[in-house]
Amino acid sequence: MTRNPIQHWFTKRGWKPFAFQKEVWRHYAAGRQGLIHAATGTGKTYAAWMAALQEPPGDKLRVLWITPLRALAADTLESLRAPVADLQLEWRVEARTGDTPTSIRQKQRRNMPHALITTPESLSLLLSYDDAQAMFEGLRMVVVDEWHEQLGSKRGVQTELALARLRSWAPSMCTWGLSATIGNLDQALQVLLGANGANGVIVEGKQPKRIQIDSLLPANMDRFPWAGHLGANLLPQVVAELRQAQCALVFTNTRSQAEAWYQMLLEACPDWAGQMALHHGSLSRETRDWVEDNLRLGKMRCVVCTSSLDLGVDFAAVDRVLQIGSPKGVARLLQRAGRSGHQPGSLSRATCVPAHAFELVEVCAARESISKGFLESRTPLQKPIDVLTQHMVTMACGGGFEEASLLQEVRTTHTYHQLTDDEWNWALSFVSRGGAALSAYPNFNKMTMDKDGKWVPSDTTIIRRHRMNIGTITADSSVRVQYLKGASLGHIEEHFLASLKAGQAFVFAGKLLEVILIRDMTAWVKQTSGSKGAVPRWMGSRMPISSLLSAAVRSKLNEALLGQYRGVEMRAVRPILETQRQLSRIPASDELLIETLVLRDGYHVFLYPFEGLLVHEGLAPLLAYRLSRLQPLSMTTTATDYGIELVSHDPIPIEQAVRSGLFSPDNLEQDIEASVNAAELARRQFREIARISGLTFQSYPGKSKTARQLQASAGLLYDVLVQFDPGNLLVTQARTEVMETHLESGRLRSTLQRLSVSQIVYVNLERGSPLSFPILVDSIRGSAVSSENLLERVRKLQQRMEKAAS
Amino acid sequence: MIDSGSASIEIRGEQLLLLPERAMYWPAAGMLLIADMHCGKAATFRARHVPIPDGNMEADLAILSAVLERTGASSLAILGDWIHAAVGCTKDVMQAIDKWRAQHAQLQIHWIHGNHDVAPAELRSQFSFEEDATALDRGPFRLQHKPGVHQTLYTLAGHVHPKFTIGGHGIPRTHLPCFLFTPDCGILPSFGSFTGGMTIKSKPKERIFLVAGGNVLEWKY
Repeated sequence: MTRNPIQHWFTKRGWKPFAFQKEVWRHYAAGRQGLIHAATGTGKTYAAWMAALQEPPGDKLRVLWITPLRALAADTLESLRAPVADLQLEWRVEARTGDTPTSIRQKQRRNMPHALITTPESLSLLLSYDDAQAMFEGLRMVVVDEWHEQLGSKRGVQTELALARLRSWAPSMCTWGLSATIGNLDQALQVLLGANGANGVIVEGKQPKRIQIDSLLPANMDRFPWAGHLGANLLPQVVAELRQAQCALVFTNTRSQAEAWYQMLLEACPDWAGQMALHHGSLSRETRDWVEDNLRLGKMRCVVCTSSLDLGVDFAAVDRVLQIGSPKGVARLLQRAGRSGHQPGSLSRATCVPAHAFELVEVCAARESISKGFLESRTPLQKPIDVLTQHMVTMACGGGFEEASLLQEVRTTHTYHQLTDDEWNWALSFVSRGGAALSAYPNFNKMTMDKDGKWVPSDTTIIRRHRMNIGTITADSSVRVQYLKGASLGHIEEHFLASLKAGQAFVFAGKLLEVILIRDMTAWVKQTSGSKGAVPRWMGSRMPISSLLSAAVRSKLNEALLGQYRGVEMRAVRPILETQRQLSRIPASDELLIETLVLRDGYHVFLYPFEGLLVHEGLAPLLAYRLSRLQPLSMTTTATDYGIELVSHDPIPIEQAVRSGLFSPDNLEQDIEASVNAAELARRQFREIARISGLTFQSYPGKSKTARQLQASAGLLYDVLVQFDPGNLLVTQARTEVMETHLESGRLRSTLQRLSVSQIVYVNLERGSPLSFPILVDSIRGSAVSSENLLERVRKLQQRMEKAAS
Repeated sequence: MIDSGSASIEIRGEQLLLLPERAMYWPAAGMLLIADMHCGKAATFRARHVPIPDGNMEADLAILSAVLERTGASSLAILGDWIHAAVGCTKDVMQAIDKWRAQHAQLQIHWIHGNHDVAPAELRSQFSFEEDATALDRGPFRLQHKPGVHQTLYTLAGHVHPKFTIGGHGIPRTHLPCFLFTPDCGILPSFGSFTGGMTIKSKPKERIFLVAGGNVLEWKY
């Protein structure tokens, strides 16, 4: 087949192939692979797909399309099928995800289509069948869609390992990644191609559309809150903006916020009923599909959504994007802005709706970063052992593996290219003998070596159990919400349901509901009328500011200190920053501001390093631990994006602590380890690791009795391993992940280095300063640190509660 | 000292000591009571191809020996779930228990069956315990596995693995094993260290005793 039919197809649609698309086709024809970098909706899909269509399909699976979201699979299927149908090509294109019916999946295994759209999980599942090689050996091209979303996650590592396996079966296969803009595209390419990347190219797609970032400014700054997350103050202005739009997406940062805003908008604009909808990850598939279909058909005026609509096919009708609260990241804001303005000649515009005064500073800082071209990077993970062990079992199920060749293959991935022999041997003994400590237990035989020297599972129950638990996403224990008669609405966390009192209404899926009965992890509900209901909170729903954006905020504050207020948002927030100057101080970028405040509930100390939530979450217990070493002291810590609060019933000797090296980078690792939080965090982190490595199970085949016998929380398993198998690499991994990923010990160190040479400014507050306010009212208290023993703690608690009661 | 770190409670005229080792001692009867040891739990996991190392059971048995010695108890009542599952009663596990039994040859052991103690008779007989299949009545007490209400007797039971959460007011949140006493029934914390727990809330007319840092103390709020 020549290129002409393809050209013809573009012409027929009134399109013209873009230069970057032709470039991809040329590279592909020359056997090269790479990364296509372009904004959404600019033709990335066809750049890759039309390259493959230049050639006839053959009789085997030829193109594999890996998409990060099940929901995207259907849209992608439609896009890929369009030219095939129009040009009457012989290509058979199908999708295979967790949503695909079993009968179709079985048919596919017997007779693969020419192109298959799938997710990382479904791909790994396919690799666990012993005829996998026959399915994949004819591959010519693998496309990894939205690669930037997978990079830096365990899902991405799962994809890397699968790619390495596919390459060994189909050596002439080319890998093409599709990516939106991130700060480290070159690295993204390297990780995608691994050792195979010598011929990798980055193809720059169409330049992003013109971008405009602005904010809704409060009319009266005096009445604008200093803290809070909801942003309800600006509701009238939001409504006014929405009324001018044909079709708007209203992005929120959390699902709770989305539910709350949907309610507020419905109340404010009752005439929009039926044209307004809610979209977030906990809603049922059907609900989300309905919303997406109507968006596509242009029937929606307004959809309130979360990151659930960050990705995917563009909705041409969307002409306006609003962002409730700070976007917390520069790349995220850019991505969301890009969801609007697909009409010819229009620009992409995101209007931010600050929830409190300091978010104005964040918006201004984000806009400046975008104009300078600064975007966040996605840091690749360092050889996670849990994903490796899962992959080994998958490979054993899929026809068995030979030790040396799998090691060689695994080392071709970027993530594991520095895997040591010791680490490999430990992982192998973990899946075969159960780990080094278990070498003496002959009855543990998960895997045996067959007569050809290949490791295979020792019985079929292991295979069945493994297949049910493939994947790296850990779901929280959630309860399905379903009408007494009829449809399922989605999922909420058990935790929230437990907090509801009988007869109390709650808001979910945009409806006011009442629980009738909870049974078998399903909450049967009926719709109810009335005024207000509780809004569910989903765990882990707080979104931290990126370090790039927090640095930009620091420099905006420094400008304010010097009296420079550049940008409309900065001018708007000026009165509040001046109040901060009056009551306390606007910190310069080489200063650390420490405010102290005595309130009825105790002694408060606020520190403002402006390093972002993640760093502060590590720093807070560390400082509390070092303080508590000076004298026995119990403290609660709170971390936010801007700073840290320490609260104690007893005076906190902060100045003395600073003088004796509170911020010293010395003994950092030991002190983090010792601060209660690191141990607890590692224990919590272990939940995901235990799931991925097969120590705990998301689902269990057949016998519930066996499942009951294996009931143990990941935390309990962690305690057992720490005590009786301290060399367990999964335990080490939990600690490393906490140190590097969670606490970012590298950044923690550089933060301490910066703080230890900073000018420290102490201010005794009479009342809360504007900066201290968001921390003071943050209802989500962080961890507590104590150097008192358990007995002493219980006694003190008793005393305090007695005092409170009297 | 028998009562070092322990708390005392009087029920139906009998004094009971609540020991920080998560056991209960009834001095008048010379009887030590424990619940939910779950011997062989790690071995059960391994038999199901989940790699968990040994160590807990040996450590727990050593603690049990120490408590028996300290109290001088002449009998031991096991309020159910002595073993975790039949599949976990491997040769190693049985040998460790035999060895422990041999150290306390004079001890009278009442094994009240729990829901986990489903093992074939020939396996059970190896433990050489006095078996009391479902319940044992002694003085004012009915000893059984699951909590319950008896017409006349006060029930002592296990099964629940009660834990209580303390925290707030500047103190880190911590889950502590506890003893729980309702007007009709007392529940022991689980003795085995490889066991989870169920968080309970305090209710009126109930008394909660926390096991914290080598001490047992009553929680009054």
